[in-house]
Amino acid sequence: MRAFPLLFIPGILSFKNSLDLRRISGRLPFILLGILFWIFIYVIFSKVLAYFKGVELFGDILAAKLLSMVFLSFLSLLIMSNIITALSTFYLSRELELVLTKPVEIKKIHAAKSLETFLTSSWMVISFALPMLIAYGTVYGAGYTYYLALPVIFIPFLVIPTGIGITVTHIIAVTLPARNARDIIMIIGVMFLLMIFLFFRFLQPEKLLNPESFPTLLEYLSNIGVDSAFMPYYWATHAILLLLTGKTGDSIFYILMLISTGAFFMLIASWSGSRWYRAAIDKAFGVKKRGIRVPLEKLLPVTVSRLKSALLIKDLKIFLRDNSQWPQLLLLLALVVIYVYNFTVLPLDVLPQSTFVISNFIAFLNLILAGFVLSAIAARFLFPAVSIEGRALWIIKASPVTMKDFLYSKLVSGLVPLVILSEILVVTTNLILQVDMLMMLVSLVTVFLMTLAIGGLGIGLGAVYPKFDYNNVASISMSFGAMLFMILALMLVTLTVLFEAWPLYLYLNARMVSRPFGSWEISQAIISFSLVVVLNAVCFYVPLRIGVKSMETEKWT
Amino acid sequence: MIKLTDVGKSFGDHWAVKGLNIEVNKGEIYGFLGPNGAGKTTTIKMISGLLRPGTGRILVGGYDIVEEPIKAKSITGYVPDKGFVYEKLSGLEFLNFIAALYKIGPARAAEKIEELSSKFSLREVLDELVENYSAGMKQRLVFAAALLHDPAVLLIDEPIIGLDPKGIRMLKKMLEGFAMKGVAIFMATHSLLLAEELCSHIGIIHRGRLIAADAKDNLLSGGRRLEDLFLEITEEAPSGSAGVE
Repeated sequence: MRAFPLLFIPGILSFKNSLDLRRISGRLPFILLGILFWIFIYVIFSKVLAYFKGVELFGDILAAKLLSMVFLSFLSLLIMSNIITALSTFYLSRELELVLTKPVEIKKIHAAKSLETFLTSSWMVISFALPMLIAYGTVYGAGYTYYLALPVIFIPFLVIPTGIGITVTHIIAVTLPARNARDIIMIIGVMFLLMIFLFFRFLQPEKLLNPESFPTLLEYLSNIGVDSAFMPYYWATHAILLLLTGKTGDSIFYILMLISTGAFFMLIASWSGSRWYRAAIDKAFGVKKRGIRVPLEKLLPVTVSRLKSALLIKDLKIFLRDNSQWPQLLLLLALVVIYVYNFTVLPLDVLPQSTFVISNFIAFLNLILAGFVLSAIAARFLFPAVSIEGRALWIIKASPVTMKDFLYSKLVSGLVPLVILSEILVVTTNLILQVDMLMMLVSLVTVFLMTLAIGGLGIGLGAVYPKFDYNNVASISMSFGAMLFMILALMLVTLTVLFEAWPLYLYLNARMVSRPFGSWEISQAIISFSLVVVLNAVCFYVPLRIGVKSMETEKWT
Repeated sequence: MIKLTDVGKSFGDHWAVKGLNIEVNKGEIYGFLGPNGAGKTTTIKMISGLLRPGTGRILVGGYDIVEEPIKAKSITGYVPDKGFVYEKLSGLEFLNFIAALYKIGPARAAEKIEELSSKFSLREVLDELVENYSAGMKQRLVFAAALLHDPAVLLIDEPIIGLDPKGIRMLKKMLEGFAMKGVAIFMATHSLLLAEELCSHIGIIHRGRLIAADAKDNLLSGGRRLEDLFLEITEEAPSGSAGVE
């Protein structure tokens, strides 16, 4: 067999071997979730497009702008995702060492890696774009030529960023100091993604739902220079729009532009590969990493025992030096910025009801949101804490350390930043909402309790359902145990807030009619808050206890 | 120092080891030999406390490994066959971490790290991240970590994997030195030459059962070679239900 297809055999065989009935049935919830996601995107786009169509004068322009914006964001995402993927497939993949020792020409390895990069970085965009493009087709009643032409438009559109991504990766790998190339690319990539993410959020897409803002929005959109006739997203958008309106002949020009540009960039990628790939591999293989050096030992209070501080410092050092954690941290930062930003643009002043009641009510609802955000963060950072011991777990298990000490060190290292973050989130948003002192106090205490409980739940379940044999840290947060954790954490947040809803209602009622809070109401509030304390205490303690027991068994050796 | 009494371990309905009776005293080097899948790693994992015995009892320094695991582990040094370590720590950070796990004070830890890094030729790489280490260097680091707390019992699973000839010679000398000081060493290995050269006692496990165990001199009386004995008895031994590590 020829070398090029041969290089795909291990991947194909691994995929085939993973297709047994038990595994598929285990993944059924994820498959269903994927199908639901598709349906969700299709329905959302259908509704939005149908709504746009109904808007006189501006409807079609809005639909075109939306498509243009989506393709622009696809292009930006694809370029970055291709750079990051190319770095992994071309320079960091585990099989590279094996393949390089075999009698395979480097250009064939390059071709195989290019295809792998293309498939790995494009599948997510394809899965998002497909229901959207079908929605455009159905809403605008497109003919069969539209659907037949979609692959001809979309595949070259995907190939262009692959060519760019591979070329840029080779240039970076051959020019930057190899020691830091990966870290630098990771940071640049994630920062770029965040900028795009924040840019679209700050465009305030919610304004699209407000007809009064249409004229200014259109003006705004036309002024920000989204359309450029030299860009592939412009060609893809126009090819699709022309096909939608039955102007198939006119769309051919744009399709040819996409195909020729795609071919050009793949040629450039291939040329850069033949020129630099081999040299860059030699450079990358000789890398010696130093890692971030911080004297963490000096930062801990002396009261922390040597054993506990050693466990904490070890986790912190590994966390800081593992660059696969950085994108998650940066995404978290973006999430927090957007979270707080959303509160600053709330139209509190236009609502007819008393601002006081609305502000306090929103602050209360904010507890649910904060709880959800905390759960998501805990799923990313606390749940995997036990799993990241990986295959080095034997060190802990064979040493004279109790599993209780081990888990509690994990809990402390995760919980301290989580508590600080949650309190900052709630204080900031409450200050923006200008809530009264009582509401501020209740929010702070509630979110503190919830954070403890979510922390205990995360570490505990992480110990019951660890995934020690992982390829990347992010995959731990997608495991069955992590899903179970998310469900339980969301239930905990909802129940906590539900328990507090009644006393809040009584309090706001009393404030609205300016009467004091009666003793019967105070007793009801005490009962409610006691329930909250008990619920959160149970959710903190019980999973940890089960986690300790589970770690003490010999399942994980 | 190590005493296994009628120890067995099953995974599901399959016995990996069964009816093991082994005793290793102070200053003895016990070579635990057996073909692939005989039960060597399972046994050593049970003595180290990583696995719990299904039947029987294991005492390490007089402590029951199930009843008093922390006490037993605090006098044991363990070197696994695949010594994965924290790749993102430097060698020095890793050794300091291990010292803290065994509650060794900072001053004593620094002294021991200095001594062992010198013995294992790790001094020059101690500040580098472990991910930059070669397989042999990682193995030396794991050895150094196992010896930091001056263990009374040393458990080694395949001691010479990844070591270069110089490293092997150094290790042999060191093990002999430890035995002289009274450390009980339990060593699972495929290397019959190493066992013949180093061990005072030999046990041969086959399909989960101990089929020969005695002082080396008794087993090899009359000028027999260990290789001949090993091949002879592992071929003759009856097949049982036990047998997968």
